[in-house]
Amino acid sequence: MLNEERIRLMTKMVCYEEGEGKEYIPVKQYYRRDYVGVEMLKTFITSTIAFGILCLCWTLYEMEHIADILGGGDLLSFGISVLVKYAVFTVMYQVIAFLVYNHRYTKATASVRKYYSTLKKVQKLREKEERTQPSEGLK
Amino acid sequence: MTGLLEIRERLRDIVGKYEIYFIAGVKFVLGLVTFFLINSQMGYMERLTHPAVALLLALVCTFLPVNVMAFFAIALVLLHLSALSLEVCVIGLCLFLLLFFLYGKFAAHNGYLVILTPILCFFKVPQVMPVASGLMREPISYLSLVCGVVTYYFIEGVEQNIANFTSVEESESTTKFTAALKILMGNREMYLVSAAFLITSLVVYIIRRKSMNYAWRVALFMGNLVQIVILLTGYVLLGMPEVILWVILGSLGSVAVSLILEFFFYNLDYSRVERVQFEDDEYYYFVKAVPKVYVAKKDKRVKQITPRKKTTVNRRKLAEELDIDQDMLD
Repeated sequence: MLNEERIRLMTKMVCYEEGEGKEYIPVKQYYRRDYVGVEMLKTFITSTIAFGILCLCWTLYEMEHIADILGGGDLLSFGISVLVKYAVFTVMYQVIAFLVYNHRYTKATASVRKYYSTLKKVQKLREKEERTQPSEGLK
Repeated sequence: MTGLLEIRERLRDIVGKYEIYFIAGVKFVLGLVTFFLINSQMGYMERLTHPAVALLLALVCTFLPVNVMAFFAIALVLLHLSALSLEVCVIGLCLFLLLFFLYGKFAAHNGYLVILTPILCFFKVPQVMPVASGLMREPISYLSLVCGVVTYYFIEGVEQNIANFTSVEESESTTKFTAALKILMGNREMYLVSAAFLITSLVVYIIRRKSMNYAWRVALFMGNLVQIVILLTGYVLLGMPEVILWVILGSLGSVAVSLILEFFFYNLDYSRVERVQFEDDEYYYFVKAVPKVYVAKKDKRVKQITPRKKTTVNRRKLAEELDIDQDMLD
């Protein structure tokens, strides 16, 4: 026989999984440190690419004066200044990534809590059903 | 007011009942407007300007997430730019990659804001966006308005400087790159609008989160006021007084849209505020509970108590019933 209470809870869970849970359930599969770490690593890669694009744009913009800039001054100091800018840019993005993904993990924790409590209720109902079913069979 | 509240409840019911079709319809219309606008404004690649292309893309987007629409729109823009000049297309690609890597990664669910902002910029009323997003979204979403603004000014800049990109001399390649980058670097109006939008949305967000009566109403009026002051001052300083009329019209539209949003999403009854105070082991709690205005929709039902009487009887049936000839009834 169908257990209406279990079906109601399971429907609620599927609604969550298809909506808000789509974003938050995968987040909660990691520990906070792992999740934030992986996302910061991804951000490091994307910010490096972004810095490369910015450098490319700057080079194209200053194309006519690039020879003067490179030839006129000290190449080493120019390279160091680029590296310093890259370091500042990357660190800034790492801080932003840390704040954003930490906040997202906290939000995911709060959001998924209710889902897990429903899951536990469903499990208990299922166990209860399994316990009662064999005795019904003996009758 | 009660009538309006009833209409609101009815609308909510209808939208909730046909949510799938409603969202699909919104996406289709949005897609159609977006792709038609891109084709009409740019239209450098003639093959893509056929209405069937926009219609087909809009149809595809109806069934896909809104971010896919943004992706298609970017692809369409880049294709048009490639037909104009490869250099400007490269700069366009760099711009979109930068926007994606620097911002899109953190807030991937802002497709609607990214698409709607440039569309409203084309219609000269983008002032609606910052207040609306300040009311409805979190601060991380506000940068998507800037993405929309930058995209619009880039497209508009290419259109205004088209002569710089149509030259066929190969030696002018560097000049084309520089010209394309100058559209972004030297566009002071773009910086003004971006800053105004960011400040406005943050002001709206900060005020609407306050625990005061009519927080949303105060936030939306203050937001619009801040926006209008920044934009008017900015445009006067930039020497562009012809835009002022549009700013005022856009701000009026923004007030109207914000009031509608408030009515649908934050309609509270401040005459029934309840304040409670309690404590546990660690804290004292001062809670202010404001009830939402809610009117149960009228559910009219006509209940038939007595059986409906037949008033008209068919001639033939009556004759059959009485077991007589039809002619006898004349």
